[in-house]
Amino acid sequence: MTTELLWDRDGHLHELGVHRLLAGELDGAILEEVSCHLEGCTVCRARRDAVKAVAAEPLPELKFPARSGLAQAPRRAGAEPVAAQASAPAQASAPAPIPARRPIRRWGAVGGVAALVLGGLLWSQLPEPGEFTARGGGLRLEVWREEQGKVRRLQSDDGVQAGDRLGFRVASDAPGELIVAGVDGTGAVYPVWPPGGTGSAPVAATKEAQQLDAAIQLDGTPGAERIVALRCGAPIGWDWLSGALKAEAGAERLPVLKEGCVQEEIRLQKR
Amino acid sequence: MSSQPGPAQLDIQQLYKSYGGLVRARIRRFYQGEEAEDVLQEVFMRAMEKLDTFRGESAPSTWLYQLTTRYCLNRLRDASRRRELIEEQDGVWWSKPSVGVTQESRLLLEQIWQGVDEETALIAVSYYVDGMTREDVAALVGCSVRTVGYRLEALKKKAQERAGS
Repeated sequence: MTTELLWDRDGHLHELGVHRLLAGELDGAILEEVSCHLEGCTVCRARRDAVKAVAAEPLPELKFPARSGLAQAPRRAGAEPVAAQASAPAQASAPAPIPARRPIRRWGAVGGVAALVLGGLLWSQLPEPGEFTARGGGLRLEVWREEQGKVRRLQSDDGVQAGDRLGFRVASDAPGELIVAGVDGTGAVYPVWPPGGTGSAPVAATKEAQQLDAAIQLDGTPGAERIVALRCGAPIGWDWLSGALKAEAGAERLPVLKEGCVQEEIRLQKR
Repeated sequence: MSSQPGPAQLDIQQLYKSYGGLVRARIRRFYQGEEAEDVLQEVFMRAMEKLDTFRGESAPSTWLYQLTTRYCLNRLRDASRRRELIEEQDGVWWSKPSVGVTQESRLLLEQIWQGVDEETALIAVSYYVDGMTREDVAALVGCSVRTVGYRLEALKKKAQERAGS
């Protein structure tokens, strides 16, 4: 018996069919058939996009139990530092936490035309931080877009456009120095957090994602917009990061920028 | 710190990297929030245990999909949790099926939680919630189409008896 394991009884892709599509297991005539169907079917596109959005979220590190056998949850996120941080130099003083839900303070042109640092957005509508638990992947960056008075979380490869206003949240499972930067379609690099290009700022380990005291508004520069968060055990200079990001501006996916650090990248497609 | 991974763990790490996101998407049909992240770890622990049984007859995504669904259904075996799920009409997975749920299907789904074996539960969820054809259900579960039909008929009969009592 052979079956394609794709279509449900209503003629739409079932959930396993979507998984097979996203896993890249389809090819030839079947892939063509599925692609053709997706073009004209909002139901299937919605199913695909829903699975894709969840699948694109950063994965926590897979932990193995000390002995074989099915384990209960090995740990809760944030219970221990990531391996990369284990060898990092000890901090001279306890880092301050990222301020949660602090209002954004100012406007200012950054990086020529790349983006604007915004103030006074409607981020008060972001869900409570309790909904955003670090999943143990070391560092998690969330990008949110304001849409008609509401906010929606964006995933990598989501589309954005000129004028979109973006806010950010970060969850870190270990203390360190954090910096967030953006790279526009021309390779221009601009600081996101801390604002002003002054280099990194200390962060504490946070079980919940914390809102960053920064936001940007996208301009009309075409191409992919890349948002990068980097956490290291020691302070990170803006000039170094800016140079590193410029050097890798054409890369499809960023290589490891600095050994021993943890980084997270979200790439948005500007229409 | 965990110990150095052995060969099986290396394989499972590859599977996790390639399919972890899809497995998580499936888990979210059953669990939400931090619990879903815990289950993600548990599912891959189970996959590591079962890796020897994966002979490549199906694609990895299909194998992990059925393994994940089985695992989540077993984990939900606790009766109180099942009742919670049934009562949380808007909360979780089975109130958001891939295909329309009829009243009859709803009765059957409730029936699933009340003492059916693992394979029947997987068959019922695949058929009524995921909307799969009987052929796909059979391929997923690893049984004949006839077996799928028998199991569904038995479930239906049981649900009708309950509805009539």
